[in-house]
Amino acid sequence: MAKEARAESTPRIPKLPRLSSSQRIQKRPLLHPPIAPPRAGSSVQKIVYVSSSSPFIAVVKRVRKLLSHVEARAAGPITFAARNQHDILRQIEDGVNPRGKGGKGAREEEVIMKATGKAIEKLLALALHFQCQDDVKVVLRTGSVGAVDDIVNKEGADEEEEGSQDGILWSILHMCPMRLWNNYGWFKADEPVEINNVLQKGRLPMRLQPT
Amino acid sequence: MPPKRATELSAGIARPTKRKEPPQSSANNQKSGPNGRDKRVKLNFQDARSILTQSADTALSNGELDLQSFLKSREFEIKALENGMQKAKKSLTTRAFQEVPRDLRRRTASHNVKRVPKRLENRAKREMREDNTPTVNPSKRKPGSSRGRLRAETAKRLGILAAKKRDIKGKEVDVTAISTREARPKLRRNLLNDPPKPKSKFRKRQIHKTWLPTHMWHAKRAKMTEPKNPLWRFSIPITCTEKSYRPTHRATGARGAVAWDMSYMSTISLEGTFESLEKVLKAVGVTDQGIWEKKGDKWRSGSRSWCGWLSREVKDQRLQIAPATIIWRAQSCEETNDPPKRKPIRHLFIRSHPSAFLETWNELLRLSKLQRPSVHVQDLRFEIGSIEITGPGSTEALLGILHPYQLPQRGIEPHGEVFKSLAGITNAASLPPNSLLGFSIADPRLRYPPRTVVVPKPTDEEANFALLQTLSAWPADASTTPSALFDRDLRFKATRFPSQKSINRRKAQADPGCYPQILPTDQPIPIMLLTSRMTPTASAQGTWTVLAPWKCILPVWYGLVHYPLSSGGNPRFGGLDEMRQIHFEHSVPWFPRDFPGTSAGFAWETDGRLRRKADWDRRPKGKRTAWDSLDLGGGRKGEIGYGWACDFERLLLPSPSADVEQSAADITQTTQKSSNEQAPSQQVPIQHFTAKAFTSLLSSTTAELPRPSTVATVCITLTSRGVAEPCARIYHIPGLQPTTQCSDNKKISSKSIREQWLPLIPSATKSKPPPNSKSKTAKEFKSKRTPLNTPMPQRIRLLAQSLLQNPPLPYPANKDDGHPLVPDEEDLIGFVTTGEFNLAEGKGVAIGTVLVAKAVEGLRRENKAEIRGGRWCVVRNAGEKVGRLGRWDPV
Repeated sequence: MAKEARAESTPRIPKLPRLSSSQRIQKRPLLHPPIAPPRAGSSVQKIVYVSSSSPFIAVVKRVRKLLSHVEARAAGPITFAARNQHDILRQIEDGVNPRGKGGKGAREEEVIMKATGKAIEKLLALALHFQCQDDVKVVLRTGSVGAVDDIVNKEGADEEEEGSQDGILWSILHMCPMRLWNNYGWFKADEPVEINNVLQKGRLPMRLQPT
Repeated sequence: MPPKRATELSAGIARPTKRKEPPQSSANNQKSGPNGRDKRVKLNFQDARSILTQSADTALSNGELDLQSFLKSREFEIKALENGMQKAKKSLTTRAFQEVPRDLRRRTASHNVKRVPKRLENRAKREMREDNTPTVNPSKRKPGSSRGRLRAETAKRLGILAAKKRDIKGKEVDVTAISTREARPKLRRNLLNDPPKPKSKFRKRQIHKTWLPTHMWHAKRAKMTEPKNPLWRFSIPITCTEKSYRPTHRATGARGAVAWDMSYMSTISLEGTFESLEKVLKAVGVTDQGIWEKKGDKWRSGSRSWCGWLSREVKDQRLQIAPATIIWRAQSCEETNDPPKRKPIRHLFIRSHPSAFLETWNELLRLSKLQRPSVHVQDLRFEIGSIEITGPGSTEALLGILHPYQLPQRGIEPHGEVFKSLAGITNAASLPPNSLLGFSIADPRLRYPPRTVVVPKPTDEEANFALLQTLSAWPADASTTPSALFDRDLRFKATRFPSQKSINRRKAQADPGCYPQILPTDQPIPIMLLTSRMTPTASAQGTWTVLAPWKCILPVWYGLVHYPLSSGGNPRFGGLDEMRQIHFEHSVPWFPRDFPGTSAGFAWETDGRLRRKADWDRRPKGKRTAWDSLDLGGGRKGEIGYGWACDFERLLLPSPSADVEQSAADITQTTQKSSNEQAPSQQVPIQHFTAKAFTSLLSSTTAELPRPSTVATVCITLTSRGVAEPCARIYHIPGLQPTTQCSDNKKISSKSIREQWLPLIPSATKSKPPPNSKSKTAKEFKSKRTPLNTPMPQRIRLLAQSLLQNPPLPYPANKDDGHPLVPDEEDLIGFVTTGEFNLAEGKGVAIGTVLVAKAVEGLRRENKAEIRGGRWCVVRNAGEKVGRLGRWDPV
């Protein structure tokens, strides 16, 4: 489910009355497709979901691994099994072609990291980390995702769902996907997004509670 | 590097001019000399040893070095080198059967090519031929072991039996020419029912136990309970044969699904007027706040289930029995609209754990007989089976298997429609809590092998919005068709399957790529789908439970485990160990193991004691823990109570015996006695206290404490390293009491122990974990570190000084390591029932049981002393002296 949608394309949802003091929101999990197998081909999007409790370095390593798979796919196998001189030359050519195997842009495959709400802060920290590295390009975007929550009574574990219509909370959460791909041209100067500026200007919603 | 240059590289491809001979060992011990193997070796060898290189001069253009191209080439070379190294390592040492993924590995695959997957069969054959590997010859096969011989004999005898039976059958047909269908088994009211009568071939193996419907499937793939030692009168899969700890963790969290055959769960049906049923349920402890008022409307109308604890009243004391699920049968419109002459009869199912079945049954039977008008109780243990499935792929797998029953030109039941619209859900917890779907499905064999269902793309806005709308509005609440699963006749009809032969014929007749059409003679299979959440936290995975007639479980199961998930692979299956692991990773206690305060849980604990004791006895003296010589520091010697038990009996003794040494010496004798005495009918010395009551008790400062023998379950998170194991001892931090007398008259003050532990408690703010005692030395070292700008002579002098100052390390190394002393026995509050490394948390977590009175007293004392938090405890593994600090929370 997790996807970016422009604000105008999201359907209009009727506003609910304010919660009484004895009620609170119990979140249901956000829907997203199962995490793709790391070795799946380039047709499958590689998405890393970041939560506020995900360990920083573990996420970095996970992303690095996915990027290295992308690189391996783009370069193709190198083997002497094909005895033909021409084949070997082609392998070498694929290996060093900035556009990937066969020049089809296989090196432009990307890894996407997504976070919502409280975890956006962590994602921005990760973005900063990756931006300081030469070999990846980083692009930041914002989007939103639909969510359904329950309204329950506050005291202890007493869960109460009030009525059929009132009990359900609809909200559009803001989320912050980040795209990464191998920056293959080493000395290419890309204009990086200045995350520090974004943070200072407060253009990105940092902590968003479901409304 | 631009592609044009590639042609110039031909000169740069370096081939080794002289190849080294393959290693002697691999070449010499093969009988076959210069044949196919050598060729393969050559090719692999060359492929592995020749490394692609590029000469540096390609980067030179007009005497200038093209830096980018130069770097690129070197990078490429390094990669090729790494690649070559990997290949060289792999190429000559792997054979076809070794490259098979773990779940496709078969025993004896190295000798029998038929055991490797089809795609590798040719390669395996070739390798075997080349290596001259001896292979199996089916005609020469002899039973090797005595067990194998026994088996062969039994098979022979069974063959004779079958032949005899065939003969008799043939004769009978000649005489009567009439064959009758087997009679419908009787379901008796208010009486226990017998398990289904197995086929004569398998009857002898099921005398003291019952097989699950999927027993044959599981017995080949899982470690089952021992034949002589069944669990809860069932033969239950314990764990998969293959390694599965981490794969299970991944399948439940990241991608995949795990399914369990839970047919051993027992179902009891109650029938009666609403008022009588309400009285019965209230008497067994279904008294949650508001559940009998407006809040419980949905539950009582049959569109939600209720999960909670059942209990019984004994001598004005509530004893908890087991967690259970209660489902009401929905009332159809006619039933609710017509003004009835009599009060309408309602119907409900209670599902509970088999270990607590008899207790539940007896209590319900007793209560039902007290009601006027009476309530009928039925035992549906072998009538309704169930499957549980969890993980991101679970909904998808169910959608691929359970196809709502639909005759041509007829509609689907409304709940079936809702179920079909759930494609795209990856977490059962995103459905409304405790939601329930009841509909009928077609025979899953008609659609076997299952195909991956089409899930709407994550970028499809409209589909996603529709799905969210379904989840929020939940249209299943609008329809009130009673589930057919409550109907005895429909359940029975569903179990009369068409033969596999006729199904195969219909499949053959169907158009290519199409499934056979459903005929009016196909019986619908009534099923019910329940969702449940282990924890209310947002991210935790929910679980689906499929209820179906006992005999319909097998075809559903076959479809489920062969369903090709869209994220790759098939759903995994799990046994009891996997179930326990999933609960543990959610930090949720698992019944019965983590509830020794219930009679079922205490029976499990008694079993565990005997098993651990037997394990301990089996070891030679030098290799087992010597409980009585364990040095706990401060002159205390010997393990507290029995080291192999969660010794609640010892904990409840009025005053801990002062003479520790003697009790330690007595251990072996008393154990033998106790192991004989411990009959299953033993009185449970402790009573379980529910988490809800425990939480409310903790939040109030003045509430009255329950009896001293009440226990509650807690989850303990260790702050530092270390893992708690089952039977570990839980202490609270000792209070400021006067000194305690110890056995050898050494005085250790509990105050001093307290002062050792207090600094380890982390501060409330989010900061680095507490410096553990080990790192103290590191800190000292840091403070003494010479500043960076010290000139060299002074530096040398400082170094010499420090070397002379510090005394040399003692030898043998002091085992104390500065670990603080563990508290005394009077501070013991409970025991760990489950503890290991928690993959979800990334550290040691334990689930334990503590005495409520002691825990609450300790907490109130600490709160008065204004210790941060106060819910701190020390956990010490049985037989070890090191205590670890942890924080406990009621669960």
